[in-house]
Amino acid sequence: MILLTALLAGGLAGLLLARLGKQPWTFPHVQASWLAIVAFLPQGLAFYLPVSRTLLPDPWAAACLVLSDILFIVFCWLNRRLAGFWLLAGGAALNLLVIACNGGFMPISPQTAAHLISPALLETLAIGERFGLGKDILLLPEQTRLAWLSDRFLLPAWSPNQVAFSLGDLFIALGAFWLMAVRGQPPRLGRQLPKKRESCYQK
Amino acid sequence: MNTKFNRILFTAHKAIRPNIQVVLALLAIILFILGAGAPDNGGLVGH
Repeated sequence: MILLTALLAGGLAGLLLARLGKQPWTFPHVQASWLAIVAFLPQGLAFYLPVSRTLLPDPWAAACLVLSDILFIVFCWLNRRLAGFWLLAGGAALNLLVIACNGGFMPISPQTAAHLISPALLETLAIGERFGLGKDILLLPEQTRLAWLSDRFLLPAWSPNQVAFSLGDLFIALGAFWLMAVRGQPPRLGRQLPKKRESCYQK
Repeated sequence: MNTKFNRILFTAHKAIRPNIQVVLALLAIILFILGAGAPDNGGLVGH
């Protein structure tokens, strides 16, 4: 939800900037959109589709997540010329790194999980067990590789939708905002070059 | 008749095609941030 909020906020900022600059608002020219859709399919089966996510064994779900993240990074590479995609790629790579180092799932500590669910429910979960049917796995900080990249940040207590998120997610939120705000156009560095002079040899 | 029908099809195709590209691009971005991002509560919040 926080990522979709960043996307929406970026879109609104982009609309405002286009209006101020008296330019028409255009959607970023994303290449190979099909690849992002294909990349999402394994995750859709493993984590989102109610029928398949309960049937798929954990090792398969982990493999789906890793495969999906690799394809998403390829998608970023194909769109590297668009502003914001380096942040999106960086976030995806950080998440992939910590997921790959921790058995194919995003680690979350019991301390962080305690902010999301009731203590009674937390007691029913064993260390090393998946956190519900999501992408997270419950691990103690000392068991976690690259713990600083895990789902360790929380939204403010007043937020109605409580989730834990990682540094990679923060990069992705910033990238989504940036992409939509500047409509994928890279910033102009320096002054524009003067128009080419007409050759004195021309008639 | 056939030519007229083709012209209508061509006009409709020209009008819809850019929108399909925008919808696909938006879908790609949304699926990317849902897929590559991993904010999670395990679906357990509220239980």
